[in-house]
Amino acid sequence: MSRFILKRLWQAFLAALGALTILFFVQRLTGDPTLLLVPEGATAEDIATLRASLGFDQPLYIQYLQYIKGLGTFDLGMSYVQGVPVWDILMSRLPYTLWLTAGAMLLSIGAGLPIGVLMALKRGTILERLLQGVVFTGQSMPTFFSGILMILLFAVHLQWLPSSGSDSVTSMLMPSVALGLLTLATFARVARTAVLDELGKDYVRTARAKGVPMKRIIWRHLARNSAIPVITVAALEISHLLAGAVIVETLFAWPGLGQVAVQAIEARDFPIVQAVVLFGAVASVACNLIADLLYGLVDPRIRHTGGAQ
Amino acid sequence: MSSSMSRSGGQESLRPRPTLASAMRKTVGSIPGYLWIFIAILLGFTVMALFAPLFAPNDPATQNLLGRMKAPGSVIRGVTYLLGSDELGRDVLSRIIYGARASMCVAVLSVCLSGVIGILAGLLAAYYRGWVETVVMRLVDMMLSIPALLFAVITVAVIGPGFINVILVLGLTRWTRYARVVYGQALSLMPQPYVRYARFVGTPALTIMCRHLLPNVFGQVVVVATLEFGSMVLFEAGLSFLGLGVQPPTPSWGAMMNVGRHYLDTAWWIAGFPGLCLFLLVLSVNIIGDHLRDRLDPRLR
Repeated sequence: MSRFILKRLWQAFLAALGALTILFFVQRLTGDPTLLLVPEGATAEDIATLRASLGFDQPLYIQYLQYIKGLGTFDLGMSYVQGVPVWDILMSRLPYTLWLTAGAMLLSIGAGLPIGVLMALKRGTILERLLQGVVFTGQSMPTFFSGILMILLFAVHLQWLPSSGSDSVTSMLMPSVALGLLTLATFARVARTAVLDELGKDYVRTARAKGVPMKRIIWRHLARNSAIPVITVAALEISHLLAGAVIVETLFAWPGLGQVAVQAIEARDFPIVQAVVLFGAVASVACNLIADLLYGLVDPRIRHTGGAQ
Repeated sequence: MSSSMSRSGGQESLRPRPTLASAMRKTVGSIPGYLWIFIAILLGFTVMALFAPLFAPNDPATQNLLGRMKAPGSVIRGVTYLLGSDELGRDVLSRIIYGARASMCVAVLSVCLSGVIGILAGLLAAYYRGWVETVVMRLVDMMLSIPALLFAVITVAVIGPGFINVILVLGLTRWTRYARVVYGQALSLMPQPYVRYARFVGTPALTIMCRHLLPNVFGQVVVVATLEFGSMVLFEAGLSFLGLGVQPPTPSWGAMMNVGRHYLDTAWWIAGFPGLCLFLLVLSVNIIGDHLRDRLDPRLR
């Protein structure tokens, strides 16, 4: 078991390092990242000074080592526009994004899983068709369209909820729903497939033949056995939610990481953009790692054989 | 021997050979009724995008400062604004029709680009194994660990927004799904007798990949491509919504919604109608893609 954990930790470390390396090279696509950092109208002299001070005149491999060293010591550089360490900005905005992501996750699991289970159990009925419609709608609805519809209905028309800002708990409602809708659809689909897979198996038939009530079969047998695909998807979806937050936060003026990244792009404050994307990549690797470790807890078969897949 | 051959040949000739037309009829006949609605929507948007100048009642860029933010159905100086006018007095309907061009064009081209890269990478990895496989599949894993939209955002931020750049970014970051599917399927085909025979008689690698492997993975590629098409439409709209996509004055649904969100309390139609079109297009593509997957994915049979 501990060997399995160590192996997974090592793999996750490699994946994160790989993602960071790709991002390093993406930033050098134009050849000279200094041009991304200078404000418009900078003189050639300014550019040369900045290039030297940031080490961009060094050979590529030295730049790369510096970059990795900086990340290892949590040094993400200084914000070019605000003049404060990027790390501080990241940390001050992170709680907002985490709240939003948590809200969206809660909604999508809380509603998505029951919808999926219901679709599997009521297969071939009108109810399944209706729920299928809900799922397809959620899957195809761009976050910014569902957000706009909600603002129109609840903020402009009914005036129940604030259309933007982060002053109260109620202002979190609409962004969370907009962000969580796609994930809700994904959870419903996965839960449906997982339950359908399990329903056809012998142990369910045995339990039913023994006269175990359906409710008990669902909670005792199906829930646990269908958990693996759901956990996998949950890990993947957290990274989707973090990315989706970029759009939702812009729409609802929610002061999280996504909003700060978009503002930074407009202000050409590149270190912040880079930091937010790095955070997204590391967070998504971490979520996958946690999911893999959770498998062992949920499913003893994986624990004993020493590894998933 | 010869008689049995001729008999079997005779039996075959009794059954009419399936022609392309009859195969098409059979395929079309098996499409469920509800799907036609979504096929019609998709075709509608395609035709609209292709022949935008014929459908658009007005010029999408002509401003009319006296006719700003007029409600749908307004007539200003003899010009009818069927879906209203935007904050500069431009016709929302015409802009939506021209906006379909940006959406479809970006989606089609980026699907093609990412598809070609992904298929090639997947085939090479499955055929050559060894270090090619390691490099390609590790690269896929690494790229998949960066959230897609964030990846697109940072790349566009580096190389700058614009039509071509968005296609390049989406094409170069989204090939990984094709690579995975093609790799997995092609790998399972490699030990098949016909592939082994082809290698044994010295068929060039490229011929084996194109003639023997590719046709057998193509069904799954089509499924991935359809679902990716929907994602690409959303990505383009999302990037344009953030100001990183197709640049003004070229109309784009995402950019229209970005502007329109500031006028939701006075002119909901500026953001509302492009959003509705986006939703309908993606919904149609997703439903068609789902249907295709059910039919073409061998794992689901």
